Amino acid sequence: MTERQSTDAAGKIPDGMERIQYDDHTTRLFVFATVFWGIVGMAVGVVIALQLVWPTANELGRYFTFGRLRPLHTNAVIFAFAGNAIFAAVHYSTQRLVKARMYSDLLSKIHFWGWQAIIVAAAITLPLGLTQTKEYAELEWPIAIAIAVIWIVFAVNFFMTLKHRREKHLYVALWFYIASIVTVAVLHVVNNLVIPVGWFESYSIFSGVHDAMIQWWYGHNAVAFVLTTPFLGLMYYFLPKAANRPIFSYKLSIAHFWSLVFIYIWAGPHHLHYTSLPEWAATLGMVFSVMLWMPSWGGMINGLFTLRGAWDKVRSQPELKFFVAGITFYGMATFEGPMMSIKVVNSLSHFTDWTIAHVHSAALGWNGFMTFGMIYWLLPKLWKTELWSKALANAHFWLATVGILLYIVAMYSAGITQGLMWRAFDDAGNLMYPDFMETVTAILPMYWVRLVGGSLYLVATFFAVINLYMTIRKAKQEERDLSDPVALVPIPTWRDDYADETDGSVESDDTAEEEPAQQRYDDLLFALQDKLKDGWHRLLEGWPLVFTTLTVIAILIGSVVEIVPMFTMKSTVPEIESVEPYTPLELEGRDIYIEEGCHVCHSQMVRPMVSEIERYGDYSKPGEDVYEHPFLWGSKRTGPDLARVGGKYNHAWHAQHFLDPPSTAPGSIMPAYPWLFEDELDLSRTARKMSALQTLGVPYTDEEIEYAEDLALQQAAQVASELGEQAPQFAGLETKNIIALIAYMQRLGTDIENEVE
Amino acid sequence: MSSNQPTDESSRYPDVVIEGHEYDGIKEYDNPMPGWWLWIFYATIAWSVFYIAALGMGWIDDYDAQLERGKDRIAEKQAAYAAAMADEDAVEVDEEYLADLLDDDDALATGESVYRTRCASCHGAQGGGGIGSAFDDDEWEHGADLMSQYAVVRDGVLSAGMPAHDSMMSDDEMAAVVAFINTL
Repeated sequence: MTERQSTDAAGKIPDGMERIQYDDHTTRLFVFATVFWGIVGMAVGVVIALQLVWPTANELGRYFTFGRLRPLHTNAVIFAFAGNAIFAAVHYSTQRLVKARMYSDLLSKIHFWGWQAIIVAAAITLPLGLTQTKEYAELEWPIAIAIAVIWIVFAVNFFMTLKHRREKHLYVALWFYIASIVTVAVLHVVNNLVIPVGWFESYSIFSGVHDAMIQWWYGHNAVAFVLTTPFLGLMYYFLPKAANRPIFSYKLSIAHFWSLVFIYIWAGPHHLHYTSLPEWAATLGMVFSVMLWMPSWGGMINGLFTLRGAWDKVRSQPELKFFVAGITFYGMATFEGPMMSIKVVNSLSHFTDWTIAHVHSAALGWNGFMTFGMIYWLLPKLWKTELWSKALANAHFWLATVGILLYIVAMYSAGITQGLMWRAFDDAGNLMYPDFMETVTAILPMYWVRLVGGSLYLVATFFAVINLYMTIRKAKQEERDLSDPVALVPIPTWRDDYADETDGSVESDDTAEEEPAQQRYDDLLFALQDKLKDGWHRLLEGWPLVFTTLTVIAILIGSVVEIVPMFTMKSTVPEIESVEPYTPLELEGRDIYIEEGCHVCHSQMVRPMVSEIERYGDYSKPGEDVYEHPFLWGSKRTGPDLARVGGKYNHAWHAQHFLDPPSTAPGSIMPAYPWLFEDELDLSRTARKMSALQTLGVPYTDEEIEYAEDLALQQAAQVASELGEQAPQFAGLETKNIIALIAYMQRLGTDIENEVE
Repeated sequence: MSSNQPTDESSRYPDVVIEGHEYDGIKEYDNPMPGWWLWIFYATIAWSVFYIAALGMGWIDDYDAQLERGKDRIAEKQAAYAAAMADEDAVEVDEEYLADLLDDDDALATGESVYRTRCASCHGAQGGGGIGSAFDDDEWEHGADLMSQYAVVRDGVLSAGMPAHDSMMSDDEMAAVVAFINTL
């Protein structure tokens, strides 16, 4: 049972026990990666926070503008920082919970290095503008395939470890790991269904409303099954270990696990309130989010109540401080989430920094603190020595807490302020702040506070780096033996197959002799009765395969009910006849828009509210988006909505605006894009793109595809000449990217004007 | 309540360790789920059923109804404002009114500040033009009289990329800015 140094394990092994070695080497690697990518992801976060208050910071170069770095930030903190933390937790705890070494060292190695390679690929391709645009699924298809492969490697390694387990029943932490692994696989595959048009270029096979539904079914459940359930698993192992207290309630574990897994998957559409998504789907997203409140809090209760009688330890053990605060932030965020998913609240919070506050209280508070708590607890275990400095760990905790509070208070204030300004009408019935710019400059002071808060959190993380480094150095100085730890574990007598594997050293007692059929049947009944005496769930815990199957069924129910009708019901997307596909030039312009990450700050979704119709024009209709592969509704309005921007300004205004945004919009925090005026328009893949879209049902004719380049050149010449007439300084740009982008901007939202009622 | 009902915290959660539940030293208590937790959970389920029913029955506004209500609210506001304005001596912007502003220092100062924030980006800081027309010459593409200029500011010239400003500025501001550009 107890772990010992391999050196003193040479002694005699007691009867009924055997000697195994855990793989802690891989866990150490994952811990390194967690801290390293944590620093990278948070540093990028600080850079983009700076870019928002001081746009000059975008002049780092064309690959480092806000639109390209923001996805890098989110991917780095979610999949690199939190991802590696999850793997560290799974690797360390699973082996001990099932009393078996990870199934394959080779798979562990492939898992670790494969994942790091994927992160590096992300860090290269995202600044290059190679993106699928869908949030947290931006990575282009070759990387998406690599993620699927590595995830399968991880899953095989994990489930085979369960198969070879010596502990019959699965502990609650493992339930959460199982749910995470299978659900992420399902979500990832479906949301990355694209049609490639080049090595790092593709179009989603879904369009408009459907694409949005799939994306936020994925997006919300990435939050659920990457940032919630694995961390609950982490909590269920590391918290009771650190506090040395029994889990508060096994019954609660069962109830909140199943309710959480079943309900969470339905919540996605709450990201699409008041959009073109059918209201019934949004309503389901809302009510399931509200029902999710208590299942989420079940985890908080089981965490905090487990500390009853151990609160004094919180004072002396820094890891417990992190856990307590982390669980508290979790409780806050999982109350706030359901609240924000209520339509009337969401009408204010959506597209604003309120969402940014919400995700950061969860990411910095819950995911960050649970991770650091785990790391501070693990360091002495993994390096067989004491933590170098408890005081520094405590300093980390307090500084990071101050950082989070500054960050979220600033963002709540910014979000609510801006949301209220967008919808305010004056006494005359006109918009109080018709100029979008006013609603930006009003919240810039809050953006500064956010920058300070985020920076404090980053600085505090460096304290962890120092502690990690010094603890390892200490272990080296003390010449600690870091070979795989040995554990003496009981030989599982419950496993029928085990007798063969262990050279018959253990006889299982129920397969001894042949019995008549009736006798055997009775025995089975008695055996079943015996098994059920601890309840049906106890039985399930001994059947990983059945448990996993039930989990998959639980997550598929909500998915099917919400997604399938959307594809089968024609009323989801009433046809608008005047809506036509983009011209070849506009299509190229749209791809430039995507490459530059315009969608990161600009939505294309006017909601059916008076204030929005007044500000932007008629609200967006589902039929307008039928050719939108992928959809570009966006989730944040750092700048104004662009769904109806076509025709509002002349070409010259747009050109001037892209060249120097503050010159047309004084106070603008948008980056300048001078390279759009220099880069030659590349039309070599236009035909291929159109033919891919044709495959997906966009009604391009074969002729249009054949003459794609000519058509694009023709339109470019026309737009360029109009531009040159409006502003001579912009003459002669017909072969440049800016022309395609302007053509796209001028098309946005205009098709519906031609509609004959 | 009978007197032998457990009342203190420790007996509500008896903290009995479940036999056979031990994983790497972690044990589990057989405590019941907190009652308040369970009841709030049931309440959210009941509320969800009610909400869906109420939305279906039209007791709660759906998107369309909310939008109509919002439009009505703003229309009422506008009507009330118009009525209130009608009572006072509302300014009627006409050629004469605009001509008077040309000598009105206050109006010109207002016009200048409006011009700097809203017009200068396209028409140049000194009215020299750029994306939009120049004001420092005697050419007026859309009509030289003051009311024509006023109409351009108010309604825009969409074909030339000039947006309408009536939703962004008050009548006074639009009049003032017309006066100001004639001083350039």
